[in-house]
Amino acid sequence: MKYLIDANILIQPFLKQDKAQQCAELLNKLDYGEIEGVITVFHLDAVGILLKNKGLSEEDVAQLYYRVYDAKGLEARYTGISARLKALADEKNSGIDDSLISQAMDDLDLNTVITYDTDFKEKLRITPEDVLSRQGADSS
Amino acid sequence: MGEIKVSVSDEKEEKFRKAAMKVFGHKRGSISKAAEEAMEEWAEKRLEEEIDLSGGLGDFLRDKAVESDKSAVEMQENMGEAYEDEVLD
Repeated sequence: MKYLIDANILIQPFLKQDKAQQCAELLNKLDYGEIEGVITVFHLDAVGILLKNKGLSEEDVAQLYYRVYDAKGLEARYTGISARLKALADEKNSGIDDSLISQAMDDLDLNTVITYDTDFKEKLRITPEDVLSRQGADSS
Repeated sequence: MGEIKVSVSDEKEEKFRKAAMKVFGHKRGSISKAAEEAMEEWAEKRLEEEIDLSGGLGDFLRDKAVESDKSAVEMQENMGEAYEDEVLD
């Protein structure tokens, strides 16, 4: 199963908070190809800018992009201008980043987004903890 | 065809032009042919090398972690608002 990855999943491990470890574990699994996911370039850029503003060096931001590019199970996909227009026209008006997630799910035919954002409908979202426990159950 | 503009020292440029002419002759396109061959060789060699990416993507971010009073979701919401304020307004 392939998941869409929300920006907060890449931001969380950079914060010394609860959930950082689970997110890191999930990202490691995406890196090694044990889990498959897609992130939009829009959200990846947002993560890069945000982490740079929080003190990540330019060199490390470049390393972040390279690691995503090199990750076996993680793919960065562009969303075109039409996806942005559709997202902006979203009647629910949940913000450009959330709307682009919904749009990307439609365009890429993905059913589930890994996120901590509870604005998404419950049946469409899943947390890293759930993915990890589901994966553990599948492999046992 | 892609184009790459590079800056090198006069000394290296002269050496490279000389070598390119020697191999591909004094004709149009010889520098490009030599550059393409050199780039291909260099890239192949470098791509074969193991780059130190010890630890996964998650460990990389964890190693750089900072204190924050905002959660990742809150930070993301601010980012969305900032985009809408700066790009869309």
